[in-house]
Amino acid sequence: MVDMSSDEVQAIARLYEAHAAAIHAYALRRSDRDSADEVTARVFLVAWRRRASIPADALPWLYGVARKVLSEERRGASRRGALSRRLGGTPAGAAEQLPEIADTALTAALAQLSSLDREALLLRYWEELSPEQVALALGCSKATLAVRLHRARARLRRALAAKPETEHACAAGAKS
Amino acid sequence: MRSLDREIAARLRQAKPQVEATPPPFATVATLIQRSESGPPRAIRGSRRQRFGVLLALGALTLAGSGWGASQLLSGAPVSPTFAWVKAKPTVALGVPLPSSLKVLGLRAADPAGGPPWGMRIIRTSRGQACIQAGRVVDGRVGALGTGYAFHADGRFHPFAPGVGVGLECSQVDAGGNLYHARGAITASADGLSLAENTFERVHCDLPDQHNWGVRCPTSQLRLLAFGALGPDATRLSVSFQGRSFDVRPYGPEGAYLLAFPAPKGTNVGPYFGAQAPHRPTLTVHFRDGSSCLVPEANDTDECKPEGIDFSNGPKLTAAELATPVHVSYTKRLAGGEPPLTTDGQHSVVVDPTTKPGPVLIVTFRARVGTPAPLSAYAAEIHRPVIAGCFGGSRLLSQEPTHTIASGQRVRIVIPLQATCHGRYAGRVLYFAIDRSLQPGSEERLLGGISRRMLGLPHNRGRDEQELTVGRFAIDLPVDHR
Repeated sequence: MVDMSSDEVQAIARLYEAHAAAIHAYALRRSDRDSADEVTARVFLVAWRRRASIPADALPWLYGVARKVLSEERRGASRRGALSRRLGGTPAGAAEQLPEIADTALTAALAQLSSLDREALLLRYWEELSPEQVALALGCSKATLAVRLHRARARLRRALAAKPETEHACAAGAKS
Repeated sequence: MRSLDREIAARLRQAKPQVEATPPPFATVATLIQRSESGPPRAIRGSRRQRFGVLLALGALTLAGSGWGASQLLSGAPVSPTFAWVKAKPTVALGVPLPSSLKVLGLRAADPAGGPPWGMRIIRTSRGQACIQAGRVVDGRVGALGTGYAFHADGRFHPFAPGVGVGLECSQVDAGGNLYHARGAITASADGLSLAENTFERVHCDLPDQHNWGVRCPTSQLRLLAFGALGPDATRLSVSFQGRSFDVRPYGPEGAYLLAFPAPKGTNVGPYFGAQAPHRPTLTVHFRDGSSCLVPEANDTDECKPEGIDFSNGPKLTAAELATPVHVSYTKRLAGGEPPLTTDGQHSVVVDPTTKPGPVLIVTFRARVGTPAPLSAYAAEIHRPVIAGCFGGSRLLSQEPTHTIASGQRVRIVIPLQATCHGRYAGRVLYFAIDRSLQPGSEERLLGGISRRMLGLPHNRGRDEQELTVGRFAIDLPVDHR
């Protein structure tokens, strides 16, 4: 039985108080509310288990854990989805779920990036992490991250330029 | 370049979804922490009265024997089919389970920890599938036990309703009604409840009211189960596991087998909850004619041709036998239809279903060949015109569920376009068919084959798969609809 008043638990509680909202928002931007609740709780369970190795700047590390937990969650959902597709008869082949945003042309362009490139951009510009923090979250060096971010922006720009209007853009402006 | 980078950054920032983050209370995490530190599962929770009932039940479960009945274990609420099966239709996909066909086999396997034995049942569906369901057996009914983490550890037996688990372990029966559905061992929770759902979904242990938190079960709460049907001509199943080898005689006309092992150390610790065990039994089936083959693992494509089962899906068809005029019409505003798969050859997008009326193409034709089972299906493929600033020549691929279609029946495929650009939309209707397979879930091969073909992915069509053009169509859309 864990003593919930122990310093270790209280430290995790303080970590939770400081960062749970950010992790929950991160998960919410990438999944539904139920999954976001679950992912948030599991991230801090991992934090508890690895409490001895949490870095001083914990937030990027927590984002890194959240990314993995979310990925695990998606794999589970994908397997469940495989069943529902089988039952519903829809062909398999669904891609990774992308965040829902109003700029559908941007969604389509983001879809063309690698998962890591996309994550680097979104951590930088949505979660507003510094490049150093993004590097920590993704487990790469600062220099590698700088190159990755630069290339990711270039790829995104090319993807947007290649398809100035996509089906989604059309649909977004539908008069119906 | 920097200004371009700033533009991209600004666009990304502007697109950031605004969400209302309300994380669950820390008490949720505290509960998980307590749970993770407390080791083995706590079967005893809740009120003293509940605890007493559970203690009685646990005591009862330690008794060995096969005559488990109501006198020893009270029945609890039955386990209902999953939502997917509530929505199932008799003529779509696998069809619906036929309760009158439900057959509980007399085959039993003792549980390594004692208590009610394991058993299995077979149920047919309206589209010719036969589905095998295993679980704990009490009073001749297959179900799950309220022990460990299941059913708040109420100590009761919870029978599976007829449709429970259907869709998980199904194969198409042959013309003689014979089933061949052989699977290697899977990980299951000792209570049997994981077998009521997708086996990847619940081989984890949850606190009451916390479904799918992903807490891994202790090994003692897990079993390795192997079950299946080997057809009428199987004579024995050779089992090799952890240094032991023995033979099992297939049971009844189905040639059924059912084996229950303690889960080895390291089970259920893979990247997926409920992942396969690191060490599993090797199963070899022997047939009357002296041939033998390995029972395939979950993703193994190794196949053998056992006696007693007709794997053919009938004579191979020709395009001439299927050819029929195909008509297409455009409607500016219509609701419904399965959203198509959109692909440009490299990237694919499945558009979310929408109930909003929008532009659609309606493809119609009279099918010369029926699709009575999920072994064949029709699909439509549309090439969209290359219009500057519009679609860029992508393809739309219908995603209709597989339907029962009678020979001569008029078929209508509605394809929502989401938006249109003017120009010529050309396409064709395709017919896909596969033979039965030793692989469970052969209908997935059909749908997977259609997907791969349509996505332009490498597709090594085997001799047991057919893909034929039924007819072509084209339509000129004069206006944009954006």
